[in-house]
Amino acid sequence: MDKARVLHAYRGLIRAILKYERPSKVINWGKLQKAMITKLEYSKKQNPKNSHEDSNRELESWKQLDPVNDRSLNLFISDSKLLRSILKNDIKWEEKVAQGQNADEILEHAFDIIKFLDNQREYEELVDRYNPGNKLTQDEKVKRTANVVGLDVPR
Amino acid sequence: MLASLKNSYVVIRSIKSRLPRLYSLSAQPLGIDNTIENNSPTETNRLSKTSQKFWEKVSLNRNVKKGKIALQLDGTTIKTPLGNEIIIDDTRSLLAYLLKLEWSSLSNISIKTHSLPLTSLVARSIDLQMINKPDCDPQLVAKIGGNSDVIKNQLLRYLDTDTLLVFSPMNEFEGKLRNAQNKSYLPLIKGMEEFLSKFSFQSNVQLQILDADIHGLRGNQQSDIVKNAATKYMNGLSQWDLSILEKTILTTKSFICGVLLLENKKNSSNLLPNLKTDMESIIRAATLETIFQVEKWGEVEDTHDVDKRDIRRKVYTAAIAAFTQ
Amino acid sequence: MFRSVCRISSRIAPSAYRTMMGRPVIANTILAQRFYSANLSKDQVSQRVIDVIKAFDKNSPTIANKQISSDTQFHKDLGLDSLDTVELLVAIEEEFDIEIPDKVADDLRSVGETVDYIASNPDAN
Repeated sequence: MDKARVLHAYRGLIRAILKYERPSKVINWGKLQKAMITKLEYSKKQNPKNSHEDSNRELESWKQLDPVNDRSLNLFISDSKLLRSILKNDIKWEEKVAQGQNADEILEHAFDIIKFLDNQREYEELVDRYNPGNKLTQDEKVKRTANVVGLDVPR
Repeated sequence: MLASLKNSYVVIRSIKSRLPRLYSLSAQPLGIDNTIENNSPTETNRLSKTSQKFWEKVSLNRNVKKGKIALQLDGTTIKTPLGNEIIIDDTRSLLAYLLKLEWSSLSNISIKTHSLPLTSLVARSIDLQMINKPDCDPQLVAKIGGNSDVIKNQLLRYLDTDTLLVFSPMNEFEGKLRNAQNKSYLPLIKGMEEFLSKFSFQSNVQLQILDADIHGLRGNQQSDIVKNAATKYMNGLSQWDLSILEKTILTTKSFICGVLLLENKKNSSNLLPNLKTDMESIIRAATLETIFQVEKWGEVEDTHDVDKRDIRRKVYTAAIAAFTQ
Repeated sequence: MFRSVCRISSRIAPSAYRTMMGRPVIANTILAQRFYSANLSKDQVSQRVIDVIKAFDKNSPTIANKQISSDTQFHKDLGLDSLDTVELLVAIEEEFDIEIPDKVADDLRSVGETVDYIASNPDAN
């Protein structure tokens, strides 16, 4: 019973961290993809005489990669070892829960962390959605603001 | 495979020496919620416009002997707005893990200041510790908005118009809001009075409430007995705990919620039964009126949905910082 | 890392069309997806579950070389402890875009049981 509570809390943590990490991982995959395509195309140009069967296949697989939509790129959290070592050696949660020592507080805290991660992530998503301008350059912002009031910026 | 990526970092690397300062350039006046998240210092702004982050690896450096953990980027400890290193007690290793997560999950698109709530709170409490040392440069004290006495006075004012001490009129929401307030606030007020009595020579610490049906619209002020007890309570807190109290009070507009959060996370086993609660109940108490408004008129996009997450992320930030193993 | 890329590209499955926020982009794609998911065959599910298990080799490099069948047990055969199993099952949830309820997940001990559950879940895709 208590063991199950620990597992449920851990499952919640892993899910929340995975979701929390996703946006940055998507971006990192996108960067890696871009870098790899550039590199492979460059090396093709450098050695025009070689057969490119392998690198063509590789290139194709990188081009097909869709970091935004492909969930299977982010299946695991980055540093579960550290998290587990902290929970095991510092918090000693399994021991404490088994002995009934502050068990409720410890598990409740795990759920507080989950709620923090979820709310922080959703907050940022909403801010981005309602303020798409945050990602624009200054010039673009000025132009759009002008358009809103029916004006156009002078060229 | 990453070798090719490394090259592109060479250019960045030269600018990178400035990195830990990125965080140190945003001094914030205090009292009002001007933590780094709401502030837009020019340097961080510029950084977010250039859309780059200048480091590869976030790590924790743990010193077992000293019982400390440092938060590092590429091996350099990150600094607070006042230039202090972000080093925390290793009794808060779970917090350290989350600080690391916060930095490693920043998307490269831009460094948004609201993306680092845990770091801002931790940085503030580290800076508070520094400026309260006796021989601190008064300019630094001014930069952070005053020393802890100034902060305590500002926090005391929230007790006058505490969210949990202001009662709505019976004719609003067919009395439902008022009933919910009675049910939720009254036991907490009683518990709070009992709690503050421990910090007072007077046996009878009474909180002055503001009841719209009796008092109408007017200001509210607590007695000196209450203020002295609350001050005495705050005097017993570490700078770390004081900054958590501050964060919670500014978020919930309630001194009582601040005490509830801190005491429930710190030493809930010795806590008065009336004060025992959880974070979700604290948030509900602090936002009762909004809950009823949303129920009646529906949720306004770009307002209620954002606010709901905002108050939660801030309260849970404080809760995470308050916890020790 | 490369292997995972190749693995992904070899699969032509219309992976979940969603933005980072987990919100479907176009209503039509959801319908297409649902239709597809109803046709998710047990073999497909099985192959993808095995792929996820193989990718979960950072903690125990031995898994990558193991023969995995539907009889393979997470603890007995793969040497995963209960927390490893939680991580693996969350990865599988992510792969199929579902959430396995605690009660079900607590009882999943083998590859076969997991595949059966996913194949019977209409939301899996």
